[in-house]
Amino acid sequence: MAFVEVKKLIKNYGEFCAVDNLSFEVEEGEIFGLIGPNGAGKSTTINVITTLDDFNGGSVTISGLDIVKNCSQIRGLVGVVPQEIALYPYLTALENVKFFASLYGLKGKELHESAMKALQFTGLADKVDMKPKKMSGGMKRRLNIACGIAHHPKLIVMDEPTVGVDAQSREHIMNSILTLKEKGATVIYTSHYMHEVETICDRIAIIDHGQLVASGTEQELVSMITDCRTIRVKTKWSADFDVNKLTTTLSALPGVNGASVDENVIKIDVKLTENDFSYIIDEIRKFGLPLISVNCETPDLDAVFLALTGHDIR
Amino acid sequence: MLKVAIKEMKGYFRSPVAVFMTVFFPCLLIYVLGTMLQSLDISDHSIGDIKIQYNLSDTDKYNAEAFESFITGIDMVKAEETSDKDNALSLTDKGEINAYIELHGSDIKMFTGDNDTINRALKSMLGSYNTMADTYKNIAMVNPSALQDVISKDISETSYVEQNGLGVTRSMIDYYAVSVIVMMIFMSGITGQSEVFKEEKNANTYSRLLLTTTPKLSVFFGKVIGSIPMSVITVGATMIFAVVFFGANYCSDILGNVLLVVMLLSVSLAATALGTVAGLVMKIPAASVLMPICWQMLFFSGTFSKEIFIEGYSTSLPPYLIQQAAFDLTLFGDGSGAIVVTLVSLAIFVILTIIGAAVFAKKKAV
Repeated sequence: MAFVEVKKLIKNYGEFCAVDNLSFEVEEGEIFGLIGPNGAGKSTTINVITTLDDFNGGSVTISGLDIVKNCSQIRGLVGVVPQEIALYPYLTALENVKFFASLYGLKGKELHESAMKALQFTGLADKVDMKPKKMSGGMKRRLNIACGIAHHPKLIVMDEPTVGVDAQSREHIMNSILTLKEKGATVIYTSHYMHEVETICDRIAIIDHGQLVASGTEQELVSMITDCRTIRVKTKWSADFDVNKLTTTLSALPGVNGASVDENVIKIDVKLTENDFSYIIDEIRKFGLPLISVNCETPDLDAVFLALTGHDIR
Repeated sequence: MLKVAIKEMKGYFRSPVAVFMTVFFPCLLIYVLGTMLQSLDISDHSIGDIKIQYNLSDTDKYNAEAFESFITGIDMVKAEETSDKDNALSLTDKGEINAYIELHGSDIKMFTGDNDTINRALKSMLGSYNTMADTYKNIAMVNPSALQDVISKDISETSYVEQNGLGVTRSMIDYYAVSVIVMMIFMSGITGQSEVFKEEKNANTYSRLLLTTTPKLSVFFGKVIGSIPMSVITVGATMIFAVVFFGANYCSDILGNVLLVVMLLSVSLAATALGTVAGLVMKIPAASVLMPICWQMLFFSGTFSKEIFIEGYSTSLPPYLIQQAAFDLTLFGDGSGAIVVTLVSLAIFVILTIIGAAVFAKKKAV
């Protein structure tokens, strides 16, 4: 049984259907990406999963517990890192983390240790007495995460946790999420940054207009729109060079769908399943051609999103 | 619940704006009103002699003597006794005298001319006479031996500003101190508390609070309880400041002062509960509605004009009733009004808190 099961979820706001028969599953210990443009229904879905909002149809279970019947238990299992910085400016970093963790029932020594661990985990151990108003954007984001994980939730829901942060903090946050996964946490992650989703998510769901467009691993999603990637090799040949022989030879190689040339660039379409191209490069070398540059172009999630929804994510 | 309350208190004590508005601002008001305005309790220009005629035929000997000695003791008033009411009224109409006054028992009836400044001055004098007469009666009832001390002192011109009552020298600061506290309760208590949940929303912490395993009602009561120290500090600091720096006098005995504090705190609790509920119910920023209402109530209650010249528009508005109860307690040692205000305020607090909890429990987080 999946750790999170969303089945035929429907959420209406009056006449407007924000989530329309949405279904997906999140396995225990995986990082699950939820991507979609603004208004796609991501935040609404997250609000329902985290018990913040009710819904009009379908069902949601977390760790086998129905979120309607076991609301209080579910809240103890879930940690939320909201998109907005949700901190008290007049409390120190440690006080902020301790306050939110205490609302989950932690107290005494356990509370203090958990709060300190959360701050260490987010790289803020030396900022315990600093108030958020004196922190940089990146530090606030990290403190925002610390407040969401200090009570040791099994499921962590992160809604665009890296919005507006510098590269260093983003890197730190990405690594932190991967560490959370290593420690056994299940993560639902939403972001506008496709690169982040590609980097850390095990599986991804694309949502648009409240409906699930596609879901799967990155490779599975890419394979929905194409079965190949393109290798472009820039080289140089003389006027009497037999280009046809080169393209015929390359096309005959296993895993290659076809080859063509355009001026001094050889374009080779390779099956997605092929991850080692060295034999293709070796074959080109046999023709005595110099390798000026080699580019491998794989369709990314942006391209997948565009192909599946007909519009850009932003 | 306690964690939320403690967090609220930290938020209050660490907010310079909150501390300023609830502690320093009322003290500043007392300073301004008590010091600067007190020096303005003098006339802008000389109104000269005030000519009046009075009729004492319908009152007893004691009231007649008291009134006569009062009115003839004021240099600027040229008073003449008469028994011809029609003639006096005619003279008043013609402007040859400024007013005709007649006493019916202890009640005073005054017919004035068309000089507003003189009319106001006369009204003030008679108000002062009434207050003093009431004070003497109260002293006679409560502490007759103190009457001799009071009588033996000369009544100077400053007695319109400073009154002697219950053996305590009164000044306008005694009124201002109470008035400022009442004003702060209405302004800061009601409007400030109406923003508490909005502040959580502004800080984006509202949803985060409701996502925890702590029950919603605990969050609500924590927020309400967390506001109580603010009320205690506002009332306490203002009273202490007025006493220490301006020599304000409240009640003449400890029990009376305790009752006064309890009454003001109860009113403060009712005000915060009202603000909380208004903030939960109103979709628009509650302060933008409550602030003008509070100001108008304070204005029409004659909050800052009490015992001076201008009467309030209504004597039924809460700020007036609260101040009246406070003044009855501090000036005359009559605590019955304060007890009623305390009980009513506590009842309002309990009822509104229950209503607020019910509203909050049903309120959606998003």
